[in-house]
Amino acid sequence: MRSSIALQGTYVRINELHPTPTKAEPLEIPAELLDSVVRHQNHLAALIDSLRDAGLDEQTVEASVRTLVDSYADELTVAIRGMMKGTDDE
Amino acid sequence: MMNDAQLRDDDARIAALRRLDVLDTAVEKPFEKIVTLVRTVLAVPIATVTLVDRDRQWFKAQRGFDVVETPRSISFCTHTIQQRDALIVEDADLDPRFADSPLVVGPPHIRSYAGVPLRTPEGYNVGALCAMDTRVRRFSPADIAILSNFANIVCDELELRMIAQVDHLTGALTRRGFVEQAEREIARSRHGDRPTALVMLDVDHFKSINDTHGHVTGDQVLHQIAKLAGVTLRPMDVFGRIGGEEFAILLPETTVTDAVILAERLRCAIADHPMRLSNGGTVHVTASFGIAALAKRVSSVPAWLESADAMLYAAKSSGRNCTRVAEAA
Repeated sequence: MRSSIALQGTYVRINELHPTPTKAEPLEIPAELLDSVVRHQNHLAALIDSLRDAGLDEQTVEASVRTLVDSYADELTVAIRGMMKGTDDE
Repeated sequence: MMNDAQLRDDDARIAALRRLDVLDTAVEKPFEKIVTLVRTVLAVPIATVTLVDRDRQWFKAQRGFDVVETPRSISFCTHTIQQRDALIVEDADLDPRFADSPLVVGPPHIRSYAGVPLRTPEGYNVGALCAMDTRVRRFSPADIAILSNFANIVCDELELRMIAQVDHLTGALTRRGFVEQAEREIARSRHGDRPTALVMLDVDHFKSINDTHGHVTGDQVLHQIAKLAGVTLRPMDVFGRIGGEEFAILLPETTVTDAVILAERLRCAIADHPMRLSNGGTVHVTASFGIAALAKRVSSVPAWLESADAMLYAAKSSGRNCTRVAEAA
């Protein structure tokens, strides 16, 4: 699992995040969420490093982080859909 | 960046916690998954995402600790949030702060504790991610690094929840976020038999502002009204944008008499404040206000909003730039 994160703010869609969510819609990430998403990516990378440093095997690291990645992608999808709906309401 | 003043300012910390809009909410999978992982990875029987309210600690998620909340006074986390770094207690029996705590001498019989503060983007410690054991235990620097990184993930999730509820033009809550807060306020008010008021405000002649000056100016007006609300209202008040130029304000612990004072203060602030535009010009706007206390007959947020909206309509009919209040029932 890759633990280094690109910081250029070039992420556009949820399914392009790293680590890549197992299942994610190709929804564009709004600019308002980008800082928060990049910060999360960095936190995931730090978590992966700390799990490895503690001597956890790669399978456990992968399983742990996979849970978080997929869960965050689900929440992000809900948040973006909510924001799109809010925009449509105006 | 957190400073010592933020560590000591519990009122501001509580306000930051309220803005997260997470207390007393239902179970949510991301937090459940994090405490499950903490328990597995650190091999502890108890893990919690704890939020420290004014008088209680409330668990957004817990494993091995089968209560929803406890008094703050007996909690470990009330100490954790007063520092920047992790609080580590290897043997609670030897720590005079905790040796007599009901959580130590009784269920769940906590003997060792590691808690990392959950810090908001503004820098307030609103709670802690905790790993606890029923035996004496040494938490290694590697354990604390893992717990700290999980705590960051918890904060990410809290931030994502909050961002999804904020209107990006004004910084006010979205309609959905506001309604969720109002639902909880109704329950809280009924439970404690406490007064609560709802205010609705609508910018007068907003369509003609947009038609005359353009939508960019209209957006700037809405943004500045939200800023005026931010400095006029109290930290505990909840401000939401529920339509194009329509806002709502939730005033907890507030009688209708005090709600009128607050609404009039904001109305005058808007009327007296020339809205500065990015092109160097200014525009004067006014707003109309409708107020409804939480009456016994009101059973839902839509009904409450309808009651305040009727008063807003009455204010518009009375010539605008004024406040009207629903009769108590």
